[in-house]
Amino acid sequence: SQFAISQRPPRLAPLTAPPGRRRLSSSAAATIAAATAAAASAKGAGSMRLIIDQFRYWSPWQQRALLAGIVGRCSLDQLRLLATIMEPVFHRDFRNCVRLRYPSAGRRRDFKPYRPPPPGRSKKTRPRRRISLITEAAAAAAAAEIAATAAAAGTEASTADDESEADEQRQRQEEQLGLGRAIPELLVTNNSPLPLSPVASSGLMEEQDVDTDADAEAEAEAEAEAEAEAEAEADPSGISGKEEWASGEELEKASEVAEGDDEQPWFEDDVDDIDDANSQFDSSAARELLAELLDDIIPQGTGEDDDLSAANSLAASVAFEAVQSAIDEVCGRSGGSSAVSPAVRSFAVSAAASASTANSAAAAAASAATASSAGRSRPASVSFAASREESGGGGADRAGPTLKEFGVQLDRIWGWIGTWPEFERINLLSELVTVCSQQLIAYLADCIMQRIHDCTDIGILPDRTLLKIFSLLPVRDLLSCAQVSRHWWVLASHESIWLRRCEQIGFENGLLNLAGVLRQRLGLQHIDWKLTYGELERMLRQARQSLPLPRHLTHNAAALFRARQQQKQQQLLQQGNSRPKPRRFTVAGLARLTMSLRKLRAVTEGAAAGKREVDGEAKAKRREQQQQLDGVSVLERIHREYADRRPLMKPILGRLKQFQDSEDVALDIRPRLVEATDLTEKSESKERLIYKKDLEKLGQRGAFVGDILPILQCRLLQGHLDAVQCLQFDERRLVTGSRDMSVRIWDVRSGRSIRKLYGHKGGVTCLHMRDNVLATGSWDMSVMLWSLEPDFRRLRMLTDHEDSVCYVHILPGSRNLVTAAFDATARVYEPPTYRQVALARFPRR
Amino acid sequence: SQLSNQRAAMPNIKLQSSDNEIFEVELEIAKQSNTIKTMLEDLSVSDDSDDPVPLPNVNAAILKKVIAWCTHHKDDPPPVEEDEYKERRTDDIPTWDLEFMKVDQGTLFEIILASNYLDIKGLLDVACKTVANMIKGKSPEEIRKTFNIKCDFTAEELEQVRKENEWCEEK
Repeated sequence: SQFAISQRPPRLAPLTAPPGRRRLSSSAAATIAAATAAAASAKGAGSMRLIIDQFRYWSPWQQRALLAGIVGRCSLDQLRLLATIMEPVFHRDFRNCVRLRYPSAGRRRDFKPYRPPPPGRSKKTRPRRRISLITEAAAAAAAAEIAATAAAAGTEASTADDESEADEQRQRQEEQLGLGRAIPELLVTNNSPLPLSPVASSGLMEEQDVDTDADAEAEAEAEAEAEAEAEAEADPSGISGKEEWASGEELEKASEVAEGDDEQPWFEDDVDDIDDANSQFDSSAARELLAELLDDIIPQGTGEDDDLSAANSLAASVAFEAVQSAIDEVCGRSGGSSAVSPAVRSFAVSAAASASTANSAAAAAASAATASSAGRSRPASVSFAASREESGGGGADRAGPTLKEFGVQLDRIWGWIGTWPEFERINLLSELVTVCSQQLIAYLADCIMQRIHDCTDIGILPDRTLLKIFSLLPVRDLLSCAQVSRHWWVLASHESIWLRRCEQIGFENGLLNLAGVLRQRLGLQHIDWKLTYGELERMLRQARQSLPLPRHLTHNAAALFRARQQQKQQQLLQQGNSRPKPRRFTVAGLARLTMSLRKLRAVTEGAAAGKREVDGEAKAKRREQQQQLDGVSVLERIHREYADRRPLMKPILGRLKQFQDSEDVALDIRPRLVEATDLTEKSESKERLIYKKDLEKLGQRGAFVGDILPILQCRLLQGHLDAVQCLQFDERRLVTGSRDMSVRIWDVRSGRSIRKLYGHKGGVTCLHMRDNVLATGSWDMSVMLWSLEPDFRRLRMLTDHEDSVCYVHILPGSRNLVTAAFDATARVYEPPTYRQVALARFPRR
Repeated sequence: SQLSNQRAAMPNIKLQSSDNEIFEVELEIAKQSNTIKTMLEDLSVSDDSDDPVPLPNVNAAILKKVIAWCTHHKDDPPPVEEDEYKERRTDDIPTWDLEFMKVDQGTLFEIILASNYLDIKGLLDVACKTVANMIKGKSPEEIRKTFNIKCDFTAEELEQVRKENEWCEEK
């Protein structure tokens, strides 16, 4: 009962000519008005049927537009419901099955014809042509079918008519789609208003038998349609406003659909012809145009294939006559007459024929021959069944209303739908499904799935909102979020979030406007607030860890600090979640402020240094340089790097030679590129005098040996939160120990901190590194041994000393570790277990 | 009844959703939306004008929810300017709002979008908190699953990002 489509769909367009000759749209408007009135009177159900009826006469892309639009207007719950109901229809297996059978659905150029092409045709255009012909023959049959409940393609003439109409309309469709804005006016005028487009069919007709007895009816039907069409055609209006209308979602959708059809060379020439002609189309130019078209028909139509020449010549002659009369008709009508004559009707036919024959007249005729010889019942419907699938994908085989009319119709439909309760929309969808082709059903399923997906996709939220959500998350979750996707990574690392958190930390620790202070300190440098936050957190965590109080004097300060931190922590805990009040600065507060600032400055500067390194551009540059330099020795690299600057210093080059062998040695000796001078010689500048003085002092002490090289600060390694008390280089690494209880390892070349070693509970006083083993000594009386390669881990912790350790050294050869401490002892440990093998006690002072 | 009389006396405003459904709401309730408030001020629409205010970004279903929320919260004091430094909490959602937010994700996001567009701070806050609660305590993979997010990191990048963000896990 759902496809109660045996009756003729309501005719909404008045068959009389529009009152205003220049405006086809006025007739469309009148139609719409009538439709609206009808809809208003019938309310929901009535307009729904109207929509369904219109829908059936639309071309696939228009149907798609409607489906997508309705889906967009349904709520998610309803769609889910629908999807559940339709599960069997939408079932994936089913859709896959469809796809497998028609793997090229939507891509016509790969499509293989169902029937082997007859010999003697050019390979390129044959298959596609064939398909469209099949489609048209079938569509023609279907049109007749719809019209007369069960009709076959009738006489050869009527079949031919239908077909050529179909062809023309298809072509028009393609032109509309392919040409986008430059839609030929002829096409506009050619189309019938509202659902009178003759060649349209419903997808579920495939299996219905065809009754061969309905010739007359089919004939009449075709005539009526052609009349309507001719009427529209004869009225060369509806031109202006076309471009204006050519915007909005319908056109977008149309052009999307059209993408697949864009590269169809076989009709392009034709389109150009028509286009050119149309640009100056008016009643006086009509004659020329038609004459041109006629010229196209006759030579090509007659010159092609032997077996089809008869049909061709027939079509051509019919076309010729028709065009002749049509010319007269058109010219006559330009005076304002609105009469519809049979001649005009045949004009439509001939124009169609001319359009199609312009490029492949033989093929068009072949379709006529095929359709007529095939007995026009079974084969037509069978091939229809097959080609329907294809046309669903191709999207342009069936003609609907023109873009403009379609837009008007669609707007109207949206108007209706807007006033419906929601379940009605779903009803409409489920009704529409019954008249959809399988391709369309698949499309609808995609639409629904996409919409459901879109709505559960958090990506629909604007970034600002996501940032707001992220700002509500604890740090741990924030870091999880950063690992979700690129987009989230960017958002979750956004400085606004971390800046706020840094400020929070500052606030909790009695520092208002921490960010402002930091910014001021760092001037214009970029601050990576995420890193800063991490450092602050770590710093606080270190400070909070409870420790046995060491005896050394400096321990007291640390202990004091720790105690304070603990106290603060407890306070915070006691306050619980109640809002901490901003504190006023007391003297103690000020002291704390300075202390914190000192630390924080180091932190953020370090972070800033790190940030600069991470900076994408610099990275890319470096990578590029690296690629260029690959396979070149270190020495050459340095040569190259400085070749365009000043002459290199010989002594440095001499030294560099020894590194030449090991390629992975990171050199960051950035000499100031001036001629080396002996600073101890007579010097002029004040600066040098000072140097000289210092050097002399050094020389006196005998501590200074060897060449003196000018020194330039090439890297500022920032990151330690407190004084650096010890450091050691090797070729690539710099290890630093600091009072902030951490040991950092830096990449000498890039200046990046590659590792932080935490473990000491007091400042690191001394360290020594030899062959990937690092020994560190600390105020906390412990000595720790670290492995630097292949991974960073702590090997041992030695706690024999009873006061802070002041010296560690790993001996070459035996790798024994020697330590000395303020407890006036020196100890020797033996690897790999680091058992104490010797102890020396010295008398205390 | 006195109250209802008062309410009846209050001027109403018509709101038109994107799908052309029209809702009649008390002006005071509608004014919780800053967007509507400024719109009315800018347009200086007289109270007795019958033209509905078009809200092209909000569909009827969502607008219905938003109005329900606004109606329930119409007597709330104006939202306090949140303290910059206060640790923001997500577990302080009132019970009614908790119930209100028990909707599917799609609706929740649409509510967020709507409240964003209509600039209803309270609703936006509550909805954001709800989403935040959905994220809380989940691993990256779980988050991806929950929100249908495709991981577009390469394996290398993922490793790098993981390392970059693991500092918190030492806690």
